[in-house]
Amino acid sequence: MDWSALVRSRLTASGGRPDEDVVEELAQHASAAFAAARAEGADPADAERQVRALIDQWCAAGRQLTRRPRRPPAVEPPAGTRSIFAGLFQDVRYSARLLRRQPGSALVATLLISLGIGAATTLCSVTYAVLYQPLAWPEASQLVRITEARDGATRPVRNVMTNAVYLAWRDSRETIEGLAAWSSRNATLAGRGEPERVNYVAATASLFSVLRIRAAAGTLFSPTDEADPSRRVIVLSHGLWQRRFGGDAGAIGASVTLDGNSYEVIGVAPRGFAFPDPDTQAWTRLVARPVVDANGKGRSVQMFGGIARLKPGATAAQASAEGTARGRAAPDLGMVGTAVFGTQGKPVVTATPYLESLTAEVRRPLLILLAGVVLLLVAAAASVAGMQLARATPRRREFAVRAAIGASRAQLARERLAENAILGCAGGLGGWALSIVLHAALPTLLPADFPRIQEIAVDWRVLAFAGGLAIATTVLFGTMPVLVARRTNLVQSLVEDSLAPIGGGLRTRTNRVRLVIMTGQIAVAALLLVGAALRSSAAASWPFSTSIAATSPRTC
Amino acid sequence: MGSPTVSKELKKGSADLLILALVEDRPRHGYEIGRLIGERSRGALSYHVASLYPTLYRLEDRGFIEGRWVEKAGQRRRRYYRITPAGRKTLTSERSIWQNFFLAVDRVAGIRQA
Repeated sequence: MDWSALVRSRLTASGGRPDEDVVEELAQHASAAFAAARAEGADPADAERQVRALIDQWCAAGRQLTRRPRRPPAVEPPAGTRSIFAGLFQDVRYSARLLRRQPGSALVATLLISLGIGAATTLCSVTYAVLYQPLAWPEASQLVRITEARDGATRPVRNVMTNAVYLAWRDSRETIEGLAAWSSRNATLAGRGEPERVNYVAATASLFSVLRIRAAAGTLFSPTDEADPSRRVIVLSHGLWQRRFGGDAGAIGASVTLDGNSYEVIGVAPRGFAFPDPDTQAWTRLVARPVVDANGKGRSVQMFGGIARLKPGATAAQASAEGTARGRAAPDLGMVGTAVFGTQGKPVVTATPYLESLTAEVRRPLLILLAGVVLLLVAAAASVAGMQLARATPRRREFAVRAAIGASRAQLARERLAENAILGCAGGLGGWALSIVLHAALPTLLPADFPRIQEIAVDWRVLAFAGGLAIATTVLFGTMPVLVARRTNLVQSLVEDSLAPIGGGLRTRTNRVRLVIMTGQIAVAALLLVGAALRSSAAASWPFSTSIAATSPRTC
Repeated sequence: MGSPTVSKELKKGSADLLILALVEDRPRHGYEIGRLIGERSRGALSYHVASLYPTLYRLEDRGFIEGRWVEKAGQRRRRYYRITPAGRKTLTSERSIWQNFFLAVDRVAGIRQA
């Protein structure tokens, strides 16, 4: 028997509004009454008659069986607060208001974070650009710097290769594809415009093929040019070509003079090409002379910089071994070699990855500076964390009251994090700005011979790194007050005076955490001071040395 | 002469106490509550469906009991009512009130059996 339909129809007929829950509940009651009547011995028809009579009685008072609707809430919550972002926006507004009330501490915190982020971003940018960014030449990882020394040398001779090693190795190569030599010079350039002093490089004809560089206009040196050493040719840098020739293709074949010697312009280097440094504006040909002249009496010793390209699969160590073997098979330099290297020992040739050799002198100082700046950033974050803990102490009572009347820990934590996020954003923006200013000032701050200085630039990676640092710093100094607050005893906070006791010492968790922070900061500061003092005492001898460097070919 | 019937006013005043007492130990559905009132009072008290269920709904709206549909295996779903913490407080209060009332009436009218 479908008691639900019967109850519903009776309730409707009696004028009541049949609530389905009520209908179902009464139907259950009717079903139980039917079962009870049957259990007492009534036959199905009688039991049904009894239950129908009961239902008629119930539904006669149908209106009383209408389910009362639940009381509506006294105050409807505003529609906007149902969104998680609405609560977040409210927290941010409230936190901004709190920070405006204490502008001094907010400013100090922002400055600390800005300094830390700005310095760290700049140092990281410099370190990456100088030490790790690949060189701009094709397959630059295969390029090695060739340097020559002597067994038992009494003084270091930096970055030199002699014509003996060059000539012995140039034509018999197993581990290297090509070998080139160069020497930096300067002269007065004249022709098509006012004379000007320019830095240029005299290089063997193999230089551009070793570097795998193509001309922007005209041609570059080729190894076959070494067969005609009398022809004076010059390759202009792109910048010089633009400046003196207006980028005119007619410059190819034109004549210029260097210190009165005429050179034919045969080509222009591609835009951005700078070898061995950005100051180099032209390249002429260098001819390596045999150590022993044709008569077999005189000796000609030249010293220049050396660069080679490894064959695929070859290592720098293998090239060093081959270069050493070639050097020892080359003609002896005689007294000149002894005078230069301070010994008559046998040649030792070393091949070093070019990027590594370029940055060898600045690698350790940069990495030490980087470590120092990172410590500085951590100290700045710790300072701000300590400040935030101190600011949170007078507000313990406020948070305790709010927790007692219903604010969840998540809500209170979100508010604290919003405040820290504002400081972190402001500090991050300040760090960005400081980083941009420092990058612009780098050419004046760094030594003139600092390697790869032209490759240090502010780009999207630097700014993204600054943003990531800002987030990491915010998390670092922002979570500590939140974690400390999680363990706060609400009752104790309500009972105690909200002011931190003078001389409270280590009684509270907050004070203990602040003590740990201060201890860490003192340790970091001491480390930085000692490091700076040691560095200052060593700075007198860096980066200059008493060694002989290859700046121009020497012929004896 | 049979037992005197309980007046309408007394029944009405005691409905909350009876229902809360019956769901104090375990949840019960409406039919069971009505049946137990009749059984335990030995027929002296009985509640019409038209007054029992509205009382249950009123107690539920006031938060003293909580109704929940329960479906057991082999049965249609039934609405069970269980007491809430607020209901327990109210039950304790009502018991105290009725006990004091009973004692006061007994002192005056000597209603307790010897």
